[in-house]
Amino acid sequence: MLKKRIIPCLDIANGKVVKGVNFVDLVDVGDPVEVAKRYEQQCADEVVFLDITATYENRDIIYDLIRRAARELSIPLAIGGGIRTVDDFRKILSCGADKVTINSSAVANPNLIRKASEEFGKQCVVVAIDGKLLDNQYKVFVEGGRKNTGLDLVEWAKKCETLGAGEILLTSMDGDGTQNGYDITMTNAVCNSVNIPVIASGGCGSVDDIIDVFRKTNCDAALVASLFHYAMATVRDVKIQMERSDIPCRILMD
Amino acid sequence: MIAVIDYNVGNVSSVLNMCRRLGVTAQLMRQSDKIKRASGIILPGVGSFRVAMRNLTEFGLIDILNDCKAKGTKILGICLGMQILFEKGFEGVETAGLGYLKGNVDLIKTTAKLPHMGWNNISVGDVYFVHSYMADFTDDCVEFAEYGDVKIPAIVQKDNVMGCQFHPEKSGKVGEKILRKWMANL
Repeated sequence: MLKKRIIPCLDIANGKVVKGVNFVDLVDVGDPVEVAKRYEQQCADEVVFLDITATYENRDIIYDLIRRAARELSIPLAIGGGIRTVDDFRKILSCGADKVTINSSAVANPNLIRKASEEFGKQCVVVAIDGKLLDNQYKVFVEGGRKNTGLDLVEWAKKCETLGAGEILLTSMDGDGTQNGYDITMTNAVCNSVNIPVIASGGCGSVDDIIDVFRKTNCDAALVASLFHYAMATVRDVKIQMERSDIPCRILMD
Repeated sequence: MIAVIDYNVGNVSSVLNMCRRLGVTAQLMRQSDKIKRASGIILPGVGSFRVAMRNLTEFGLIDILNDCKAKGTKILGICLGMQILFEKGFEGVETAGLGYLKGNVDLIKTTAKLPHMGWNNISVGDVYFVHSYMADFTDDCVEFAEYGDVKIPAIVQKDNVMGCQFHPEKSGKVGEKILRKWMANL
């Protein structure tokens, strides 16, 4: 049976984890590779590096980081932030990443989804969609929730699937940073209209929130950031709770 | 020395990285004399069946692989590299495979989501899958995973040929164990 995945997401600026990550026994680890390794040891199913600076000058820093991470990790690694072209995909994949996440560049140029999917296979094309409720309708936003694209969330998700996206990373901009729980209604709206995996994101503030999104939606994975970074819970804590709640998950066996 | 076949089908660095972590010498290879001297051969692969077979043909690798197979060199196909071990693929157009294993490769017939992406269990633990096509379930299937109402061949083996539909190089400790076992017998 396919397991529900737990995916820690690291925000990265200039090759370092933004704000650092606190572990119970170690405070403020700045190296994304070290943090990712720790999460792997705690039974993370995949890791996402999100380059929030993503300027042209920083590209070499992130490429170097991906190479180092790929050498150390034996779980899948996804990279997001500032990816605009098929060549960017090629470069990132050749450094050893397994998946590439695109967001605003997919909205600006939907053909990028098709081209990347044809060139490298849909398994590595993750389209990140930032959704927000506006006048009772879910709309697609870009630029960190500042800019309304006018696109209907569900229609866009379906279009991404048709164009060849292998997975959707769905973030609720209303929930993001609030720690009030995942947006169940929004997640359901997307999960019920596409037939590719969906990663729920935005709003996770507790282990219960993760259990909740798996119980109430058909999502395949949950993206988690601050809960882990601030050591409020470990990936292992989540897995134990998932197992108790009869949610299929991967447990590390020693 | 393990030969990781270089035929332009996706991420080979993860296979090389895993070999390095396991302390095994492996090299990306396309030259016949080097491949023929290898103690084991890994066929990696992400992408389409047709492109994989086209590239193997263009690079003149099919005869070399056939020779190695005939003289008993251990061959491990991973993901698409496993699928092309079979007789035919039906990804887009019908394409002949290497034919080392009986059976064909076709789209997974399920109402569940595709790709079949994520961790699924086989008898030794959870391993990472990502694919939309699968091999026929035959007598050569030694491990399978259940997805929706389908039994997906996960490990196939016949004589000196083995294939993993999942990615052992991305499957944490369980994947390492499977690779170690394969490498121990080289």
